[in-house]
Amino acid sequence: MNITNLAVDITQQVKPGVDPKDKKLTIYHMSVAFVAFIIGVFGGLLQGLARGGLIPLPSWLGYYQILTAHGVLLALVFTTYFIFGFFFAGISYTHGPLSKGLRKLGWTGFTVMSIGAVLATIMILMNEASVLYTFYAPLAAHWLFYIGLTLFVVGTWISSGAILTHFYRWKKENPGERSPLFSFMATATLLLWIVSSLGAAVSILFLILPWALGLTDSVNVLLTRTLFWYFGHPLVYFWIMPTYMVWYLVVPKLIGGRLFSSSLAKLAFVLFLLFSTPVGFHHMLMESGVTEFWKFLQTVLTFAVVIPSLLTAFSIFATFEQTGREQGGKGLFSWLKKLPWGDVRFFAPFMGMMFFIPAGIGGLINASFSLNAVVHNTLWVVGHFHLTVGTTVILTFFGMAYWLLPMLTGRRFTKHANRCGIVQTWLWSIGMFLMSGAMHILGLFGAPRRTAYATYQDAPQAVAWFEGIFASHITVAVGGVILTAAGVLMFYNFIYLTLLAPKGETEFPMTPDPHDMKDSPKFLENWKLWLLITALLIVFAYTIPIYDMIVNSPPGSPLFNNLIK
Amino acid sequence: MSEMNKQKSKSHTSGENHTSLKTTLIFTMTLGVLILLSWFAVFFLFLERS
Amino acid sequence: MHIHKYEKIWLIFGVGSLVLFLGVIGVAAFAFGHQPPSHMATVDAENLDQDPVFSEPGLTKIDESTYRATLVAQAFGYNPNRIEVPEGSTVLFEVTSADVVHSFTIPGTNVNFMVTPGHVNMAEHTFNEPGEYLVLCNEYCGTGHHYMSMTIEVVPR
Repeated sequence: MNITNLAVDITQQVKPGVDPKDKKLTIYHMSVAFVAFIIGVFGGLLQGLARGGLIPLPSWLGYYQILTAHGVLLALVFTTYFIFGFFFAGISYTHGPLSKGLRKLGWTGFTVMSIGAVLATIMILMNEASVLYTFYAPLAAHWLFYIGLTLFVVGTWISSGAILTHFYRWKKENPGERSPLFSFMATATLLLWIVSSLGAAVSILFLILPWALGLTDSVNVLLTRTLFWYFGHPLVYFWIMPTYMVWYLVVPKLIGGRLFSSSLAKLAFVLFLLFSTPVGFHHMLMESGVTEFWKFLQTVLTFAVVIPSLLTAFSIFATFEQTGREQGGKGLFSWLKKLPWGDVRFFAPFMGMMFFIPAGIGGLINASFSLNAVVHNTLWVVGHFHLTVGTTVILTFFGMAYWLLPMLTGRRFTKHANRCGIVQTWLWSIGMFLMSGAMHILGLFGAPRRTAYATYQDAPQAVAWFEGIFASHITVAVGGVILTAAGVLMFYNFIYLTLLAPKGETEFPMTPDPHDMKDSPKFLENWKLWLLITALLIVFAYTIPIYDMIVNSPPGSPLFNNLIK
Repeated sequence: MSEMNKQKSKSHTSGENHTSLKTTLIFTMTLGVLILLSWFAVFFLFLERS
Repeated sequence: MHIHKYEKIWLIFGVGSLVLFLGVIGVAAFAFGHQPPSHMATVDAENLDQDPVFSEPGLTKIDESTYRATLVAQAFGYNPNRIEVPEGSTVLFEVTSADVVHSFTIPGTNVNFMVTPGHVNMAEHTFNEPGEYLVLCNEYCGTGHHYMSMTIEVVPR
């Protein structure tokens, strides 16, 4: 390390933090995220009550319209804005302020994303796009909905370009140095996002949009589904990886320790990049047109992507134990008392981790080839992803909001905010336990997902789904009501922390580098190599089945836009 | 084990190997058993239904 | 790269479990025929009335206890919307769609597969208990999706 670098290090130690101009960019992202969140939450409430048969929906509001809004606003808009906000703040904290040009690029990305998100939302509200957030052809939305989705994705690419370039410049100026964990992990996440969203972009731009505009008469349905799930599964990891970043980088600091191992953390993220994409067929296991062989091959690759989560489970728990013991904790379990249970910035992500245990197990079952018949498209799946993205990811993001928001707005994280946060976390956990637990069991009984209130002419089997003691649509609705209360409280927390809390300083809790930082193998930083292997795995897993879909395709499908209104 | 802890608290840079991770092992093994039990429960449900 | 001894134990256990699961489903599938429904035949979804099989959907008897049910899924129902077989019958379902993506799902059984337009999908089930079996669509197919169902009547022998 030369002298100039040392000087930089010293100034960074003296004045750590995020540049005010970068803070502004982040707070805009967070605000959009929370507005989308609260609308999405009320969408969820209406669904839960309507499906439970507790309220009728007004004639001007369709169940599937609300369902589309709920999915798009929460799964796509909330998560994506939150993640990019987090990344802009983190990269500015780690490598210093963005350059003027890159910040401008960040704002451009934000603007393009927002135009897309608003356009898509308007089309949903006009009931021109009740195709759910998976937009499976040949059900067809208004073409402007697809334009909205495209702009949204293009916006994320522009923002990704800004973040990746900022990191790349640092890398060029500091040859041979190990990348800080934050930028390493953000890079893996964004590369995964770009690689996978290319699939969605190809599907929309070359297949769906020309068809929705009437430029082509028909669309290859199976190909659009395949391209969607080529994107759709890595999308899940696009949510999970920033969540893991909080677990790896922020939680150790909050509990007063340091991360257990940097090499293993980096390895986990590389494995996510490699194995998240060539696995989309595990969402299409019950589908004709793809042979058993390719389905099984992608099942094997799916199981490979479990390994980085196994690594994470160990690393995080080991960090807890190591910290608890360093602080004088003894015995097999009494060191647990050393953890800061009363601090919501730790407690919310911790509850997220606990929920990830059943969520991860459920995921393994979903992906298990022919076993998928037991749960495919049932409420079990809905219960599953409400545990993963709806609890594990969201509680971790909430945990992040408690320090990120006041840091951005120059306010203090107060005792009041902490108390509200703890209550919020418990409410969310209880609501989700009821809702998701009931959904899992109903799913095993065969209750379908994405279906409005229905008893199928009072078929005894379907009626039983309303009459179970725990396994009932009523439990789902009760859980939904509690979740709504928790959602409203979280929106209050957002308002409080951005506008009302007393002025002051809040730090960015980032763990110091682990002890093995300098020994972490150099090859881990070889992004060209990882991208090459990612590409090879994708080519290997997808080329032959996609070739088959194109060459042996049946006559394509015309537009079906009449069925959604 | 308590000696190890003392050693650990004395020097912050001695690396992670000196702290006991016994509970971590128990936790992960419990997790593993839970995974096995749940997976086979659904597998037998599948067999029973076919 | 240093890996803690306990972490090695955990990884061996964890990865071992994954291999075990893959082994179990692999053997079940490729040795005992528990494959996921993955039929490769295609049809012209817009001209099913000219299709040799799907122009006249319905139930045909193959032998004493085996039936073939060819069905067309269409928003928002199935054609035919009721079939009747004796207890103990094995039914081979062959289903295609005349419009959008549907599913053919008998809750409480492993018959639960996607019906994509242009493709035929299949599954087999033996009905050992008499009674009325509900069939429903669990893939969103439009505003009337939640009305889409049919019945299989299994009559005692």
